[in-house]
Amino acid sequence: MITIHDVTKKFSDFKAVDHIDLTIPDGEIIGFIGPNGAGKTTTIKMMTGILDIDEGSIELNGIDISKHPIEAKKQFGFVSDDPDVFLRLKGIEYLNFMADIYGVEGQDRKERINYLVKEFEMEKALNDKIISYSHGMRQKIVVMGVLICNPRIWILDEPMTGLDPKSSYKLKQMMKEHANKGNTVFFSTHVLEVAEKLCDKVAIINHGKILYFGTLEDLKSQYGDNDSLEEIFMKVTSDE
Amino acid sequence: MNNYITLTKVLLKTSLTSLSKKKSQKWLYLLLVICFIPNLFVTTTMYNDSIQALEPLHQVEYIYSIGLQSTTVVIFIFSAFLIPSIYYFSKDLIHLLPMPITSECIIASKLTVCIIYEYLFCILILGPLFLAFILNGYSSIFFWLMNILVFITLPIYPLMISSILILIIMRFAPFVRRKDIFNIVGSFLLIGISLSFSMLMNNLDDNMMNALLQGGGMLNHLSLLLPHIHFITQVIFNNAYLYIIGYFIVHIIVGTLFILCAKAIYLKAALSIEETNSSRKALTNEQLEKKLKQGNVLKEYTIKELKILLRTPAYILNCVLTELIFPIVMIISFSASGDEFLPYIREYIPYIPNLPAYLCLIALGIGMFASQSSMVTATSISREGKGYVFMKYIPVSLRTILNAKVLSGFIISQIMIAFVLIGFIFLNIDVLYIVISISACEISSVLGNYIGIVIDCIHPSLFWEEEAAAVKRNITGVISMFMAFAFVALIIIVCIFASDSSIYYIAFISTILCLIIDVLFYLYIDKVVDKYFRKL
Repeated sequence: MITIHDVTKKFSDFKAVDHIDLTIPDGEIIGFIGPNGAGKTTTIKMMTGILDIDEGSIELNGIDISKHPIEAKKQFGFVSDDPDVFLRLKGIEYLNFMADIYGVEGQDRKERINYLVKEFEMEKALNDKIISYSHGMRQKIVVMGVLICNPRIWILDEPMTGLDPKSSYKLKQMMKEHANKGNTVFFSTHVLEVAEKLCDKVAIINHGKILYFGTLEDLKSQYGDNDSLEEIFMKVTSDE
Repeated sequence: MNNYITLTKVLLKTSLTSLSKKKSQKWLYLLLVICFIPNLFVTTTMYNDSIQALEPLHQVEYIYSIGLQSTTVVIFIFSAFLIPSIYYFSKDLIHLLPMPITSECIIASKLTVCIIYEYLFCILILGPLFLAFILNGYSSIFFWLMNILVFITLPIYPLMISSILILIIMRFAPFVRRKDIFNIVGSFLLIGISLSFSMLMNNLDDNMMNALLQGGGMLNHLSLLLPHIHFITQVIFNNAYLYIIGYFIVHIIVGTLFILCAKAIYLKAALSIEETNSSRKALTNEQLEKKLKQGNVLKEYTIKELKILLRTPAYILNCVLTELIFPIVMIISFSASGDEFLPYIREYIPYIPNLPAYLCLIALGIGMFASQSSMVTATSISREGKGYVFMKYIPVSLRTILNAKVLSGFIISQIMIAFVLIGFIFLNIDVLYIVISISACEISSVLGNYIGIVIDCIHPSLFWEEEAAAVKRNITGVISMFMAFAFVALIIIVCIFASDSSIYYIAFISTILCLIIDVLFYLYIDKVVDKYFRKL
């Protein structure tokens, strides 16, 4: 579970995130959507400890990230929107490194890597440096680096970008399975069709405020039964 | 022709806009220009003295010829490494290749941009040569018109020859087409050539000079390879005006060869350039078992740091290589001083009063220098680039991350410290003194690395497009280097001015102080930089 309580983030006089409250329950996939500059990435950065929180608190599985950062960070795995990390490491070195960071036992890491490598079809790329990978392959190895650690909370920032349809499908299946086991999946996306098909609930943010948080059914009944999520999104964000 | 002109203008504009327009950077460029003035003065004086020496013998044209030949050779050597970067490894290629522009047009435009940039270089080398001739009364209009022609056309020949050779090598030597390998091998070669040349100049005696200058000597061979210089010299100094035709014919022949080569072989090589090698082979179970070993976080983070450092050409060349270059330059300097100096030092060293204290202080200076000059820790945060966020969201304490980075810098510092150890053994210093000195070296090396990382946490350079920018265009590296020099200067002052009665105390207290600070940094480094790290 992720609890965001009255969180604010300011950059000089500009409020990027303005007193937002959000409780992301276990066992659900939550989509985080909003226009560019709405505050999505800032919120995610505060959730993951990249940015300090100016006001309020964020708890991950009951652990306050400001007070107990190391323990809180063990609760989640984060997939950033930029997969260009550690380009000089080989794929297998990166996965082993991530496993060491998150304390994954030897036998577990081998089993998980074998499984993930087959699922994402990366067998032949593991022994090559990440710099030789295509964008999609880099995205896959970053996702694998998170999944190998099997954290209870998955936080993903635009995870489908660059993935081929097969890998995108695999990742969505994994997200559903992870949530079905009682874990939390929280991801931001610009692709509303993905949010529509995958998410149990959506949170819409604009100008640093949460405009809506709830199920898609409730959202549609509020804004228009016959409209697509895209059309509803335009209505919600333009009303601001 | 239109495509060539348009593309050349665009490439030139793109290159010039990469130069910073910031006021602070403009002052830096001005400072660089000022730094070259002593060099220009020395070179002008050298040419001036040579002209005055050879004028009575009516052999002034040799000086002119040597000046042009040396400029040509230097342009050729440096272009051998510059041209592949521009023709094959530049980022604009991916946009140019799909366009309806011929391959020979692309590299002709790129070659033109190179030529224009070489003019700046020519000013530095030819400027003193021309100035020396002015000072000796060579001021006719004809002389200066010819010099303008020489200035405009001189870079063309070496750049074209270099281009032809590069085109052939890149087409038929596949391993060179990997950018990583090329950058590393090329840079090592360049440094090797520079150091070898330096050694040669240091050990040049009269016999070798005569061999260079006399008939059948090296300069005569060079003039066969550079016939256009012989032609233009004849035109200027011997009024053999018809040789100007030969001058242009040489350029036309070389230009034609260049265009033909470009047309035939450039594209095939350009399309197969790789950033690095990739085998795309699956790992066997045994290989996987070997690679998947659980390790301690500090150790694994340090290994990660070292792997990235040693696999990135820009970091090897700017961080690791400096650990090698300084000792090698010192060795070259000592070898140039002749065979008498070193045996004298070896014999005299045991009799130096207070030797252990001086060795300890010198070792402190060397350890600090070894850690700061490599800039490993002084750029360790900057080298993360936009991936710095990784340090913030992983469940690893800041203290562990920073200590891992310091440890990686400490390991690299051992390269220079190993040379020091070998030097001490070579100088027959007592084993006990060696142990004390090397220990002091290691202690100050740790301190230097901690200081480096603190500086980089305060002012990191995180937003760069190319890895080299993290280490080259980084003020923390400069600050780190200056601190190293300042510390060494302080040690030298102490060694010179400290009294015999106090030197031991100074050495002992300095070493203990460094050790205490090291321990405090190890325990509290995260507290020291926490404020700055949070702001990242």
